[in-house]
Amino acid sequence: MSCKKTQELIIDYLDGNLDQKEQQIVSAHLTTCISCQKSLQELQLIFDGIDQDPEELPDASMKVNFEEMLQKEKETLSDSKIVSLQKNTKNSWRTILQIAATIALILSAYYLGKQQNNQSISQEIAVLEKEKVQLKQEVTISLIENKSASKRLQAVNYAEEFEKPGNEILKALINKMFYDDQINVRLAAAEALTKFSDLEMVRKALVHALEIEQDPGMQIELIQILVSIEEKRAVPSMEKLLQNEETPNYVKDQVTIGLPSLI
Amino acid sequence: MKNIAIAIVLFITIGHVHAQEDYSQSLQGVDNVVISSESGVKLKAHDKNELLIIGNGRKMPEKARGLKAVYAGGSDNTGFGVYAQKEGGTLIVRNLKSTYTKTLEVFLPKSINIKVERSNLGKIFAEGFSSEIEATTNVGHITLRDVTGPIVAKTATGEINIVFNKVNQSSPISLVSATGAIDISIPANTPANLEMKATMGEIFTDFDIKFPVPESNLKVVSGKKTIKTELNNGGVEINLKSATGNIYLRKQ
Repeated sequence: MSCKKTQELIIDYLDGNLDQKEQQIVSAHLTTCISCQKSLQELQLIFDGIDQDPEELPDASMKVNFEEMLQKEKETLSDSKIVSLQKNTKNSWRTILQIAATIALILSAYYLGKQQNNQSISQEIAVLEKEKVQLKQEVTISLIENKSASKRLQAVNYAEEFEKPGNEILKALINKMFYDDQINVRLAAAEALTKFSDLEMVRKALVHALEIEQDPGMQIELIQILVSIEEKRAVPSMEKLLQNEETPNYVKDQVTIGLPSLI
Repeated sequence: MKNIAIAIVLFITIGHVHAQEDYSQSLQGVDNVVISSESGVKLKAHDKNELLIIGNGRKMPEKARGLKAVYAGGSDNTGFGVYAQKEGGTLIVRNLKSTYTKTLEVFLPKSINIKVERSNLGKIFAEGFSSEIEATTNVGHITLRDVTGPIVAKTATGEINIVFNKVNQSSPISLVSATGAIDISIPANTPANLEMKATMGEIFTDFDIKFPVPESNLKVVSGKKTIKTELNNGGVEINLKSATGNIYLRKQ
């Protein structure tokens, strides 16, 4: 038997794990081979050292700690089990929520986009609206000096359509009421101004117009307007019309009808 | 330039004083005519683009041979007591004769815009124009036949009689009378925004007037008696206004 083979079996030899035949062969070799005897002795020494080393046992507190830890771990495990169960239900909820969120996102994106679009459109409309008003003002101002009386009437009608006419428009209307060479235009301008009679500038102009008016048709219109807007400052010029012999009777009649409601 | 103009004027004047042929003037580049006349004016439409005054209506007195008529109103450049002059796109026609003379009869292009101003006692008559007509008189009647408008007419005591063969939708029609009646006929299918007011007169029509539902808080204001309505779903503004005269609106 070689030394190598002996070395392999030597641990089992020491532990007594070899069968009888092998046991005899190894001991025969050991008696003849000094190096193997040495290995045996060394191993014997190590094995004895291991056997002599006292076995360390955990103390009681450690056991308690361990039990506690175990318990805790169990709890956490069982907890985690519950958690995982909840997690599962949560997950199903989450899926629904996710789908819902996705739909919501798409919808909100759509509506946001649409709204922004709407906003931009409405802004554009507002701008256009503003431009339209400006354009209309310009058209009105230029048309109001047109050679054609019918066009000037149209301008007066345009002016009347403004909700809040600018000063330029109002001045143009007042100017038309006083000075247009066609009575029809002057009448229309006076009528249009009635719509803006909450403005002092307009009321003053109407009062002044009656003071200086010569045309009976205009006088009648102005009397009616001033009565309808309850402008008391017109009373003196109405009384003057009554006293004036040149005033046509049908004008005086208008004064007689209107005057009592002003005094 | 001025001399040339005077020379032309003189030539025309001399050329027409005795001949009393028709007077015509081309209206190339002219789109409106302004007529002022103390006496009545009768305007007729023709298809030529010229001003035409028919000569046979006027007879020169035998004793006036070799003389020419002069007028207080200004120079007569037509030989008819009429001053006619182009100024840019406008033809000025001034009747130099007094209120008491015969009605001035003038032919004008069908589409020329007409303005008759400062007519006092004279009547204004116009027929067959498809253009804008403006007419103002004090006493004289305003009679328009076979017209389309826009019409702007005003009279103090005269009557306004107008027969529209169609109503131009481009710009408003306004007729104002102080004491005279307003009598107009328009085609039954005319779309219009109608406004009628007869302060002390009455309004008669065979059109179906739809009255707007009165606002409950509407204040009753004395003297405001305006009828506002749409004809055939609305269209051009037609404004009829009379102080004491009646208004007659007829279907045609």
